[in-house]
Amino acid sequence: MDLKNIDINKEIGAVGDVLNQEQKTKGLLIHAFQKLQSEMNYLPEEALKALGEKLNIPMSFVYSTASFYKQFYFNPRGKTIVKVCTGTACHVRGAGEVLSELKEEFGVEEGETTEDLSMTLETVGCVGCCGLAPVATINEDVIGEIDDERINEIIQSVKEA
Amino acid sequence: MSDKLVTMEIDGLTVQFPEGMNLVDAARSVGINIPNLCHLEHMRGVGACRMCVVEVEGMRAPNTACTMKTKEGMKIKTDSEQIKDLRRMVIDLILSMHPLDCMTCPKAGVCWLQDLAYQLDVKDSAYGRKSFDFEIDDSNGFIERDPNYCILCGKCVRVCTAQNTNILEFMGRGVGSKVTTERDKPLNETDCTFCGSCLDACPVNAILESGRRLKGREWELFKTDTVCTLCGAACPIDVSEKDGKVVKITSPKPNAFICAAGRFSYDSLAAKNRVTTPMIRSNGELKETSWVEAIKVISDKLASARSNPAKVGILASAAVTNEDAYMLQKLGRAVIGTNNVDSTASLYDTSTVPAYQKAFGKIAGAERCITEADLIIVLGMNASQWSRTLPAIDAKIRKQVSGGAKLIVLDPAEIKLAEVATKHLKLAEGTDTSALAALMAVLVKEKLVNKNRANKAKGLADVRNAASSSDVAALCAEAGLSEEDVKEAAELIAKSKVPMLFYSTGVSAKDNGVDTVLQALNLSALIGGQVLPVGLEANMAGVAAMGLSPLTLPGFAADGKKLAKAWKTDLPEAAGIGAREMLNGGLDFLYGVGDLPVSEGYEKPAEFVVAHVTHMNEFAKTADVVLPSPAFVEQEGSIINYYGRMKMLWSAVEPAADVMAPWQMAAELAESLGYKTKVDILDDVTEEVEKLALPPEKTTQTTSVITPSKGTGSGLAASGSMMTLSGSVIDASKVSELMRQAVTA
Repeated sequence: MDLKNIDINKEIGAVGDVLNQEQKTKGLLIHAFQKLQSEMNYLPEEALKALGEKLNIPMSFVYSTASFYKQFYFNPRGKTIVKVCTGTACHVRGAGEVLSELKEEFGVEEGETTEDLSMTLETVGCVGCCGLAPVATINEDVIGEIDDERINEIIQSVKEA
Repeated sequence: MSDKLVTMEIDGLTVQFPEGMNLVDAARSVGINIPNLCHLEHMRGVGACRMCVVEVEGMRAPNTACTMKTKEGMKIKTDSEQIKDLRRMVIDLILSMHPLDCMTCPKAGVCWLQDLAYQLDVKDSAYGRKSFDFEIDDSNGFIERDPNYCILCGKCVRVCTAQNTNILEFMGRGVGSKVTTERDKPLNETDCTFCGSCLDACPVNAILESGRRLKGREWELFKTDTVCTLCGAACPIDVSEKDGKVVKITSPKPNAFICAAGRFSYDSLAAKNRVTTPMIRSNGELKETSWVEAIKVISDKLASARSNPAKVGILASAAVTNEDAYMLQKLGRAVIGTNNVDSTASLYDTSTVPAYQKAFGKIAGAERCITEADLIIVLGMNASQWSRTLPAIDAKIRKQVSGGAKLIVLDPAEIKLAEVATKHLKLAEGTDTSALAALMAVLVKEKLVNKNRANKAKGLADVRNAASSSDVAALCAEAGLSEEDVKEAAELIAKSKVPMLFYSTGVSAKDNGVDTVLQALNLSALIGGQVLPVGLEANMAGVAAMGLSPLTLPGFAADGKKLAKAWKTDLPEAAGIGAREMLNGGLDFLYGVGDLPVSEGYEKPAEFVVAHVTHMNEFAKTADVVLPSPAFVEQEGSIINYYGRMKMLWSAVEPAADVMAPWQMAAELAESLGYKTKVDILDDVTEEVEKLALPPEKTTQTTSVITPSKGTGSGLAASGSMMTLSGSVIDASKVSELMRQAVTA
């Protein structure tokens, strides 16, 4: 996203006809966050600064808006995102063990990213396939019925990615 | 709010309010206090805390009063059992996440949560206690933030946003949200100016003065309402004292602004460079002495210097009180026989006094307050919270703009205030008179202002005629402005009801400043506006009124007859010299008071120099005698602020030095030279000031047609802030550092 040359009216589209300038610039924020994050996989401070300056919105407000949403990240994320389900069914079927094994292997805590940016470890409430518990996702793929063998497969696929 | 009155019923009381008034403010105005934690007077209600719920007849459920407006026939109950239960629930929930350490909390006694819990009899939360163990931000020497106490009312966020400082915001969401800075940075890593508006707004202990802990509980503090004299904004301040020491300084009005210097620089009272006793130079070094000895040495010198009064000068900073200024000029004129009396105001403003004398016969004030203004015009005034030049004026203008007022900035430079301007007219350097003439020409020619809105002024018809016969295109060309821009600005003026024009050193230090000020007064008369001349020091208007200037006599008297009679002496006839000439040297005797802005390595300006100062400064370093003077919050007397209003200074603490005020010293010297002053106490001076030096009450403006000209020069304006601390002209970039030193001193 070329932050210096954002065409506010073009980005905001038809709805811009009924908005004033302040509403337009504030309204553009989330759209811009999503675009920035899809390009850089997180929201770097410099990019947000450039965005705030371009839209004439204070940094405190930029961060206030972005931090409201769980989908936005302020630190770089790993190439592979592993999310371990800790929902009720997975919890009962040993999600805790899955999580601690991954933590140990990659030397990260929950929510953290490895130093080489290869992997981010997160937890998730429920992915909707409790019959396969314990479950984890690797990027968009769901891995179910995780046992020792499958954990090794997960570790392997992260390392090979 | 409209002018229409509506009749309503509150708790059985039938009352009338203007329609559309905020319900919490309306109820308070008739003595009914609707409890709240998040409401800020004069600002839009946000309904965050839910404490102000009231029953409204005809509504299904109770609603928050701060988000409702007065309307005809409304019937509300503010204190029913149902309402109390709802409020108890709110307090119960807040307490479940608030430390219950009222016994050591510095806010005990002024904590809104504590008050409401008491009123509603909630001892502890029924939900147990949850804490997020947030980190405390005590990164700087001024403000400490402890989010663990925060009740998320958002007041600090709103005051910070309204004044456009934009540092604090809500981060995250839900129960775990937190009021903090971008990326949760400590305050000293942000653009925070440490004004502490958030501190005054915080109803609990989440934002506190650093070092406030264990310095005294609220009910042990003795508060004095006085005025800060550190810059031209002269803000009202509330000084809290315990055991002779200042504990904190706050804004007396909720939701007002005072800057970091006014709030925190009281540590400078006991700074290492404070002059605590009189000192006399012997063998090249300043040595401590007694007042008796110091006065004897000075009066002996003065007795011989008096034989050539043209070589004697008295110069004070324009932050001295009216009483100081009056007695100092009296010492000069009546006792020594010289008009060489001046203040530092003439270093940055050579226009206000002559222009106002021509237009009003005095420095006139404004009758309206900035909070009423719907249009603000800023002319040659680079007020900025960030560079710490007249910070309160910057904040007040920004707040007014946030509240919907329009702002026209007339300035060649891209000044910081211009970023919030509705219209920035970037005129060519020095062409203020042309730009103002162009505005007036458009207003008159296009019939944008009718005659009814004009101020009463003599000669306004001539000004109007001159405007209607002038060439807009030519004037715009002269000022380097496009006609379209000038028209847009004129339309903003046309739409306004209460326009106010601020000007400062950007025009008043220029060689055509008198014309610019007169032109600004013409414009203001034409549009029914107010003009506010803002000086860099607190008492610019006062020192002029008191006659501490070679150009004015006390009370702006036209001649010295009345004074000569009262003073029982002839007044000197020879014209006096001003501050710049006095500081340039060549005198026999110079009595300097307060912070005279001279730079390092300054050479002694007279054969014999007396410096009457609070702190050791570059001027005092050259002096033969150095005398201690009361500092800010220790001074007593009065000043005249930029609104032209008389404000009283009350000494909030005993001076931290063996001081004598300049007015006392002037009286002592006069007596020692054989002049009977009849002055023993401050009241004696005040009485004399009231008789001889008060500006005339009501005068009608006389306008004069101004021929546009090009001005040059910028006086002291370029050297930036005159705000002083620890006795030196402050480099804006160093202020935080200096204040931190003062804190640790």
